[in-house]
Amino acid sequence: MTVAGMNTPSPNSASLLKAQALGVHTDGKALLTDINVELHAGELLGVIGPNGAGKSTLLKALAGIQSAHTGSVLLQGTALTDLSAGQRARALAWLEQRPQLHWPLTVRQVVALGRLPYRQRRDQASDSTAIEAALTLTGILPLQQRLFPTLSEGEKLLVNLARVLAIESRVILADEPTSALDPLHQLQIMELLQARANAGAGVAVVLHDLNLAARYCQRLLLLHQGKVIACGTPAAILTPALLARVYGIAASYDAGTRTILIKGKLHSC
Amino acid sequence: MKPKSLIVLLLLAVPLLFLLDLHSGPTGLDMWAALRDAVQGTGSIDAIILLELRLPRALLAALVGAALGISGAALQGLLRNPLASPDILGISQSSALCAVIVLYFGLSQWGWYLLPLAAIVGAGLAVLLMLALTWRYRGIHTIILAGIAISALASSFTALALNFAPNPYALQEIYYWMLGSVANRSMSDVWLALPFMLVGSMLLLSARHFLDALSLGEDTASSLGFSVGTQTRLLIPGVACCVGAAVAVSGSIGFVGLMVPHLLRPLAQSQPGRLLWLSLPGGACAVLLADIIVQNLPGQQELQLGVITAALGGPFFLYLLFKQRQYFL
Repeated sequence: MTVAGMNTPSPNSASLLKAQALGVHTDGKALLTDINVELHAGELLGVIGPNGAGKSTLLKALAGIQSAHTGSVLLQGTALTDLSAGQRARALAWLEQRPQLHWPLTVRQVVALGRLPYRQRRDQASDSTAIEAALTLTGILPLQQRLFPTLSEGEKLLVNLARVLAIESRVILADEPTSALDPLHQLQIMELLQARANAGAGVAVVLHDLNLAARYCQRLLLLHQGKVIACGTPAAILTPALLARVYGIAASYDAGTRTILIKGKLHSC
Repeated sequence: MKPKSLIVLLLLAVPLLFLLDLHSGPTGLDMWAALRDAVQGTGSIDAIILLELRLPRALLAALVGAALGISGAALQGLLRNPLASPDILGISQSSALCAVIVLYFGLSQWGWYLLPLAAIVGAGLAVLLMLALTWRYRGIHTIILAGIAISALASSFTALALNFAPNPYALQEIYYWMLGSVANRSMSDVWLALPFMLVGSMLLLSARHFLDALSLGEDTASSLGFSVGTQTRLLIPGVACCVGAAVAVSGSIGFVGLMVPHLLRPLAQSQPGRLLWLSLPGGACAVLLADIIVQNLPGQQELQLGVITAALGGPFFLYLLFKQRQYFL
């Protein structure tokens, strides 16, 4: 596997991950319908939408964890289903919405799990380099011998993000990494994801906080009832009309300060 | 002490306990004389006792323990639950049921392999049934409840089968299959169980990275390049082979698969993959120790080995339940 695009900033035109007419359903109920979206190298894409819009399902389908019932997901032109599990795992990193840990591992052990996609290479030097780099980048190097269950929520999320960064993948798919975190940790997480995008990776992140979405993402994908309502710059997506239609709120967006002001809910909804 | 030196101690304990188990028995034995005679092939009484009675017994104790230990570690990793083990989940009992049916209805005369095969099929069916029963929600209590149901059902059917079998020693036999023992075994039992235990352990060890990844849940394990379905299909026959082979030659010995992984977890630094192979020597030590105790207890009749493991393991299981009681509320 090449890691082209990891270290060299590439032009925004290169499409890393592409969903074509993607559809997912369970028990006859459509979760996602006809989704078309592209994730470019060097881009931080925000996936927004109300609860139950299908954001998590979309991310799982893009990560290849949830199989698509219709359409396909292409990684640099190759269908995910045509890749080996190892190739997919090295190219696509997925961060679960509420990551759990079932055994009391240390911080370093958890981050080291991010090197499992490389287990067949048995290259311990590059493994420990990647683990060190991820620990340093997320600022949790001093915590590396601590037991995961003893950490705060913010620290736990940083550990899981470090595990994702240790994969050194070209694509990162993070599902609501900032929910349940204090503002400082929220900014820290978003900046780490932004830095990885600036380094050439394609990053898609599900966000509930529209201010964070507007502030960090170049493009936003607005989902509603399993369908793409719109995709574009924050200014194009966070319009009063779209916010009223999808979220049922009265809100306005200030493109200058990249902030959104929520005035209240709409009674008609 | 550091985990590394504890691991060395654990590895040293296996041959030590093995020798102690060889040394234990109803009659006094001059070990050196017996060994010398055995090597020279003079066929003295001492040599025969050593080679034909004590050696298979000690070998089986070590093998059965190792097989139960690694099965327990694999089940705990797969279900992400420290209360899982072959006997708590009814896998050993189901295996014993199938072994009893084959053995007492004369089916084993069709081929020597039918007994271990039946035990393996019984164990495999129990794992599948357990996974099916807890498909939607794999919480601690659903797993334990499913295990209670499976083991109660299998135990009662075993007793029924033995009752209907043309056998004047039915009660004793029930006692043996339900509690387990490695007494009065021969080298042919060792050769019967060993291949299946080797295959089973290989299957389980091949899934060690998956069990590590599973610490983060099924979806994240899948994102790390593991097919949950494929890996589970390695683990189920792995557990079935290990438990089935152990039960075929020793009945269902309880609590080893529960206690051993739990005690060794700190040594493995909680990593499910490392715990797998550590549970091999750990389980061997546990059953060898229980067999030494059984043989050295004063009393008219020798106890079944499972009595000792249950006497030690029962309170341990209660302690684990007590520690985890917040999950039940």
